[in-house]
Amino acid sequence: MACCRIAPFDLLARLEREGTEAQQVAARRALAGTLPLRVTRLDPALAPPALATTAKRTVHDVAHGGASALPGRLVWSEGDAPVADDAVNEAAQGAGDTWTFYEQVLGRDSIDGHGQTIVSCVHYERDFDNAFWDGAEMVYGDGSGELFVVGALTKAIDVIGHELTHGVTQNTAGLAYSKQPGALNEHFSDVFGSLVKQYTQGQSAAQADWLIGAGTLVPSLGRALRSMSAPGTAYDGDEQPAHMDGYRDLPDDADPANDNGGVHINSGIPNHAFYLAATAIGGNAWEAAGHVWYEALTTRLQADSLFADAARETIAIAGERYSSTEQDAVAQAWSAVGVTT
Amino acid sequence: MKVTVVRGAGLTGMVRRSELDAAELPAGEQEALLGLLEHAGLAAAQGAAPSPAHADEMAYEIQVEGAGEPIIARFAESSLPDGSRALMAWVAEHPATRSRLAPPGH
Repeated sequence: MACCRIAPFDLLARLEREGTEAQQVAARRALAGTLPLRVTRLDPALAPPALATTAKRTVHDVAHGGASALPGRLVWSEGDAPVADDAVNEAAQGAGDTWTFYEQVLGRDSIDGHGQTIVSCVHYERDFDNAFWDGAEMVYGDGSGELFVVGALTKAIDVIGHELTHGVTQNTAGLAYSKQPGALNEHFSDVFGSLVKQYTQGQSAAQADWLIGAGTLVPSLGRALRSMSAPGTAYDGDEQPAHMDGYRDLPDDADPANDNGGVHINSGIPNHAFYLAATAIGGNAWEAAGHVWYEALTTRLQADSLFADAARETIAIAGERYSSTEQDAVAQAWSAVGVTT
Repeated sequence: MKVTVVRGAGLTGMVRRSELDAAELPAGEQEALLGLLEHAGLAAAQGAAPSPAHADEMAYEIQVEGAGEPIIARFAESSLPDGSRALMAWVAEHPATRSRLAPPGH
């Protein structure tokens, strides 16, 4: 499988003439410069064996070992052919899509901004219901079939983008993973995780589903992990607030029930603000809104930043980089979720 | 004796709580549970603060009641002893275990 490469002009032109109907549509859009065309979506017979990419990735197999077994055995490196293990190919694909998004949309050279190889480790533990960035690499469980669908975590491009963005945050604002700064940390991961998906799939803000991890939970639990358009509606029992009136001030006391001080609860508030701003501005969310949020994350915020800091800085950046239309949209979005500067 | 396993945080923040009452187990399984408890490293972890969490890392708690002093041991994914993981898996998967899933904060 050729991962996440931008198709060259001659291939696009050929697809526009000779491809399936879907390929012709995709090729026309790519030729128009509106979005990259992902070779992996194409008929393998039409895809060239090797296209240039700047991504640097490896995938390791932890073979059901635990933390002491990380990163596991190297099973795939950049430029290798696909292997027989879907999880390996999918982890490489997701890392490449995320690399491409950050490079092409935001001009960022990998997670650390300096071309860091993205290391992905699959088959962590047994029946493990989680995927996480451990500060140096991506770690994926297979899922148990009780919480996550088996094999779903390496397929979810927004989850992969979310996790890798934790690495970007670690290298930039360094938001503490606790209480309100921790909820902002989660928020930026949801924003850029969703934008990786929207960019990769060529969806405008109006077309996007604004869900995080759609289809990863077993269906009886719900449709997704979080909803940015309607926080609190992603799964049965979802309590994410969309407004400061519903803010939950939980302790950060290492009790696993308290989620590092509610970082996955209160992120619903800034998540909804981003959704409101992006849809009010219109077009592609990764353009104005995404750039404003990225600049705030990478140049303005710090470890102890709060929602009000994020609001103040994104409003300021929107005014500095865009027009009063964008600035008003961002200001109104934060106001609508009850965050005042 | 009751053993409670709490698995939380992670990329969802959801909380899975699994409770097993050893009194409901046949004698052989009670012995198996005691063996797992013996090798779980709970005494060393009792009262100790887990290492700071990585983003979306799992967080765990194991409680033991009704066998001497109550035990509450907490672990981050990166510092979870193999014995504790084995105990949690055994409890979580046992047919007599009562489990519930809740959103973060519960």
